[in-house]
Amino acid sequence: MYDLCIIGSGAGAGPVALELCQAGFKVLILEKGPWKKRNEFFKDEIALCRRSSLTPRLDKQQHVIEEFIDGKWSATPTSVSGRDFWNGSMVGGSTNLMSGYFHRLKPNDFKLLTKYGEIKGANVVDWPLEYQELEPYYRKVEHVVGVSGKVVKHPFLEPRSEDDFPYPPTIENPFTQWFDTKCLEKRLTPIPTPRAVLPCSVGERKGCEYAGYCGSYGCATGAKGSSREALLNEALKTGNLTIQANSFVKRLHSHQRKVLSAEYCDLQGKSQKVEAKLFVVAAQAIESCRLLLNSANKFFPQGLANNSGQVGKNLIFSAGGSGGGTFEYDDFNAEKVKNLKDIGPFFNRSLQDWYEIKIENKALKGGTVDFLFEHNNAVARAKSVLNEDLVWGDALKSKLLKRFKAQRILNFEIFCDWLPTDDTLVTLDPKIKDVWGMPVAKIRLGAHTHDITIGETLANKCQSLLKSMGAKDIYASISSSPPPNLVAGGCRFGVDPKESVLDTNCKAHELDNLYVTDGSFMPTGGSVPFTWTIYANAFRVADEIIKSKILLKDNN
Amino acid sequence: MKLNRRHFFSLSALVTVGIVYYFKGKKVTLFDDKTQVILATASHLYPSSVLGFGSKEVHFSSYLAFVLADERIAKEDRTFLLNGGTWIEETTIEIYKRSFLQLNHDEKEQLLKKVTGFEWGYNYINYLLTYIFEAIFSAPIYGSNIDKIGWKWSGHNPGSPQPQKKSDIIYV
Repeated sequence: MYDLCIIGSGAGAGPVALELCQAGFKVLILEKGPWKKRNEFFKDEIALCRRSSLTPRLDKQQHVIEEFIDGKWSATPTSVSGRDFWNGSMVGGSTNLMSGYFHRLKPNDFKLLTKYGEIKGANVVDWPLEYQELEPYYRKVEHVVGVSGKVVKHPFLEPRSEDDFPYPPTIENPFTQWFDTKCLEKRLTPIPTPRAVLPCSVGERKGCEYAGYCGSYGCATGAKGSSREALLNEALKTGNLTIQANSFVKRLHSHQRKVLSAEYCDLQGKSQKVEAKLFVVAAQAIESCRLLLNSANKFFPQGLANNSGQVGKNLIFSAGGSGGGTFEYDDFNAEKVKNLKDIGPFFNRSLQDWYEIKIENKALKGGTVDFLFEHNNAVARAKSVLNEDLVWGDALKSKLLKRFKAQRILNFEIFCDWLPTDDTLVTLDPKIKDVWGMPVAKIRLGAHTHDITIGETLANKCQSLLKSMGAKDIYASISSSPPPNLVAGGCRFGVDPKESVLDTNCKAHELDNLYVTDGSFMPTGGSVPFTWTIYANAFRVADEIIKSKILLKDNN
Repeated sequence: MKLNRRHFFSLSALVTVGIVYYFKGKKVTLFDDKTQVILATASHLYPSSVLGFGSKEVHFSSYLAFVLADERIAKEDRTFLLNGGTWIEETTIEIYKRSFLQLNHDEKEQLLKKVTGFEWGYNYINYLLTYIFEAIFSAPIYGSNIDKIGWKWSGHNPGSPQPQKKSDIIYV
């Protein structure tokens, strides 16, 4: 019997696996996807982006998306709509494919209700822990996963126990100086974006080679701080970790207070069972909720750990949106054009001046904005020329030549709180099943209008900034359509078992040996990407598991 | 007079030289009439000109064979890709009483402008152009963009490493 069985292998799994393996415990990871190694990652736009080959085929595994349309809730399977809610199904999970923008939550994110008050229609609550309790683990992630950056003081800089990052920023495109100049003119503080990307070789991980392709691609050098590269590879060295890829966990079996086994399908489709003393679910928010709901039994008729009815509730995403502007080479001098043409170095700039904003004299939670050059994917760029007119022949070629040789787009991505509501949640679809015969997740999406207000306020500021830089065709797209790769919530942690699924240490209130360590625990998401916080919290939970001596007690 | 499928086949100038492609052991041969219409449509949409190579030079036919065998593309989408060729041919025969393959440049231009007035036609041309773009910008291992002709023409830097052999394509 294993000491620990972890379902999933991404940001919520890696820290637990590493810490428990290094503490001498035998850990099994069951991962639904394949185990791809560094030398299998190529800059192959067709395979990775056009065919999404590292996520499940929608005809075999899908979701059902429910939205409020024309006055009623309407559900559509993603195999019909083509709307893909998967995020990277492989050992290391979606951390393999992340861009690695890493921002910490800030102290006010832990006290959203206390600090900003109730918002009608939103289920805002304070976290059951303070920023200071998570800070040592944010620091740990900087060192263990590897976060590069440079601390720049600004009004919303979170308290840090170390002065600066352990790794200097990745190489930046000099065009950032133009951005910095315009920011300073507007009394804004441009921040080098912290990234989970190593600028130099560390151990067996090579430094970034600046290939110009990061988000949506696996890293061929190991520079990106994926769970696989930074944590699981290290855990394997202990000899205590077993990774079983291509193993889909269908359900967990339990009695009243304890999970007994995980039932999974192996690569051949055979049903298997594995026992462990302790189980950690970290399959990303939606799938973790689905697994618990699919694990209903006589003790938990509504789903495992769900006698409160809270599993799947208060799912959150990152609200906000994106935008951009085009820099025509004809409008800039030779040096700036040379910089604009250089695809390797990162743009690497963020703004957090608007982390708190005022509307009608009332302080409101704002957000973070990351600025980045448009993705280098060629097919995506080529397709964009068809957005205006459907042309062909030389008219099309002229547009393509302009698109590729005479301009570059600078984008911005806004990260705001997606307010938790009663209308964003995960349930099981009563009809549609996956290739293993298990009910798929039905995701109801009902964003709060407040999210749009905040997003649009920040977008206006970003557009103004791009205009001052000389960009053309400036646009912004703020909507209530969520980014599927920025998902959390659904298994809130809290002190009240009636209002939350997990306790403060992310152990299920109702079970003695079940933890959930992906982003599901988050009652609110902050105004930053979630990954750093998921990593940090998983390190914290690993510490708590070890300190609790639950595994040692069972050994006796 | 609306011509039926039998008439369509008799009017079409069938090309007998097939293009054979293997994907996951599955053999795809492009030699039937509808794929020839698709290739002729692609050639009109993206012709060789003073501004650069055309769909033939970028080996779109090889890429099309790969696409038609690619199970990562929904079956309905691959069917749409094939059906579009049939619909273009049927529309051509309805208007010109002969195959799309037998139209001159101006006739093809008028025909394609006409079909974009239909929802299916607009979507189909958009769809076909997307696959032409894929052929232009994909790694040469996919069968098109030979000698990196598309990358050189556009100045596109595809990053590295690039897949060099079939087994490097992560899902093949």
